[in-house]
Amino acid sequence: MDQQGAGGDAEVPAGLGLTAAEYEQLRSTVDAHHRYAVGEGQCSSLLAQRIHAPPEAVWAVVRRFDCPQVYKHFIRSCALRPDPEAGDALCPGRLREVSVISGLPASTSTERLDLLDDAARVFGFSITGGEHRLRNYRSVTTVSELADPAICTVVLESYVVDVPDGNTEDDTRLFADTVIRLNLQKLKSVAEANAAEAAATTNSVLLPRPAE
Amino acid sequence: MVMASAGVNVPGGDEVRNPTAASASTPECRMRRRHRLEPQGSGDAAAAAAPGPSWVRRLRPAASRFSPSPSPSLSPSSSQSSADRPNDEEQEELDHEVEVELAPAGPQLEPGEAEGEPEAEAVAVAPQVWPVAFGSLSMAGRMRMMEDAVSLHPDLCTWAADGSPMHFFGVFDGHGGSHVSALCRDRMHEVVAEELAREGATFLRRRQESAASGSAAWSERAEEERAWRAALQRGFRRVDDMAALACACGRVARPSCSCPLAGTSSGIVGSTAVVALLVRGRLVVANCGDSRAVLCRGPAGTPPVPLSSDHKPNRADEKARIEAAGGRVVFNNGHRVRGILAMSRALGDRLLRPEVIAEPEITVTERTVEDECLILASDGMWDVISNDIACNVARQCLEDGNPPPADPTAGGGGGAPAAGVVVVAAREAEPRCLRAASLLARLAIGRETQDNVSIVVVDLKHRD
Repeated sequence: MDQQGAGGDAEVPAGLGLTAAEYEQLRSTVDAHHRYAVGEGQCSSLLAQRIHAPPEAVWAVVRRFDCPQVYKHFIRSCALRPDPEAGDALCPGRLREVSVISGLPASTSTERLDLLDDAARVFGFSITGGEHRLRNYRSVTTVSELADPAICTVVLESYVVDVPDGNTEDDTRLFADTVIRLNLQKLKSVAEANAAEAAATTNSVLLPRPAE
Repeated sequence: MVMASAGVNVPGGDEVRNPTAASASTPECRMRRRHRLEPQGSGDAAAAAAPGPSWVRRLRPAASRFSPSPSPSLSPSSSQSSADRPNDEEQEELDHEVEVELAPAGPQLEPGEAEGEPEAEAVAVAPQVWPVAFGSLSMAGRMRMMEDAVSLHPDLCTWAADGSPMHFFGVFDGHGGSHVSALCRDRMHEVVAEELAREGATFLRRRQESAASGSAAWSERAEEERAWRAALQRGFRRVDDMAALACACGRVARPSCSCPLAGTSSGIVGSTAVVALLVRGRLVVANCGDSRAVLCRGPAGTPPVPLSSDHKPNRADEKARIEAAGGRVVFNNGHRVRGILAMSRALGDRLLRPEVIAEPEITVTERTVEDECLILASDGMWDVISNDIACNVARQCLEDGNPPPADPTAGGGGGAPAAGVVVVAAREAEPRCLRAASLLARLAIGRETQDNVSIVVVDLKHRD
């Protein structure tokens, strides 16, 4: 994603699917977490997904570094690498070993948790190894609440990655964007289903209460 | 490595009996009767030209861009030349001596005639009988779950026009999970049989209308092919629709499955499907994906005839179709749709629509008396074994009346398979077909295929 002119009002990035008003509310988040120094032979991209569910419900799914298959496609299994000092805690430096379903151009991926900020709802990870062609892949996901024109949650996910030999920037971006877009769509389905279920539970608890 | 259930390859209750035990009047016996050199059934009388004096007739395959013209028969002397043998390296990899033998002379006219009487009484409308025997084997390759499935249904149903048996064989190579290929194994034959019954009824009605109107435009052969193609196309579509409802637990239902596995299913789960229907003297193949069907013609040295064309994203017409649908083919450890899927057609894979479609390409090929066998296999085999080598291996196994010193089917898993490879072998009617499939599978593993391997070998000659 190209750096915008200093001080100037930013146009909404093409293909993001957000209105100017929505993007304006997210600018500080984008500036703080979704900008990269993209070097030669690298490419970068930013994607957005609207979700009609409370941001805390969405964040509860996104932050599960130990269980990405809840909202990500293509994962056959995921195991946290044991860390005697950290125990079960999710903190920067944790590693997970992901095995990928068959038929895809990857079989395993070793991933490191870089950032987990529950207050700001910012999650970041990088890929450090495995059998695939994504080198120096680094990604950040943020969960934000929008109030205008209507209340909803917007998830932004961005990444930077090396362009593999023999591929173009467009090829690499198409592949990575496709995977992320499919994952964000699944995140939307899961979070909205969870929210609907929670709402139904709340209603059923409240409903039998006798009128005072 | 997970071992697939042995039941995966067990034919659905259709047991083909040993020919020596079967009486001439039983339906199963028809599958093994010797081919006779007589004109085909009355249905083809109008279309068939008067046969020439030669008692061995070579029929060219039906017009199809997948069927190159077969080369002329080799003379006996040239068939023995060393040029026909695999080179030393290939021969060593075959792990047994491959000898090119002159094909035995065709069946004697007199014995055929002698068998004519009982056959005519048993099946009046189908005096010519085309033999079918089969065997299959599946192996999980390195580092992968077993996601292949095989479906074997000889005598699946009968063709409405004349009661001829229709034999069904299929190979399904799953990806992203096994439940779509399992669905194909369990339901494809049933759905196809339903559609064939429907198309058969339509065929009979149209034939009757054509006869009543005195129309001269009716072509029995063309109408039959149209009906079979339509049945297979609709069968594939119906199974593909079911795939969208399939859950990893195996259930196919609406509304969505609510079992614990439902949430763990991936969005890119699908399967190839290569299906062969054998009816009278014709081979009908429907293919979707990158599994493959190859016809092995005799005598030795005759080039194999591909009956399907792999649906790879970089095949020129497939790439054009994908791009017209707004998609793109990206090289990523191979050519892939959006850099993700290495085939351009598959059942399932809803998330990659509209680029990835489930429409089969269908070929119809005329059998000949020289046909040796039909091989259906997943790309785990074809990626490392060429059509020529596969046919040579299969032909040798089928022709060899004596079992090789180390029978791969003896003693179960034992030491026969390569270390670390799980053999899923089913009890089959024809041990030589199983031996051919087993040898091909071991050869593929030996050549370090990374994928699962599933192979069906259908013997098209009667061998005692």
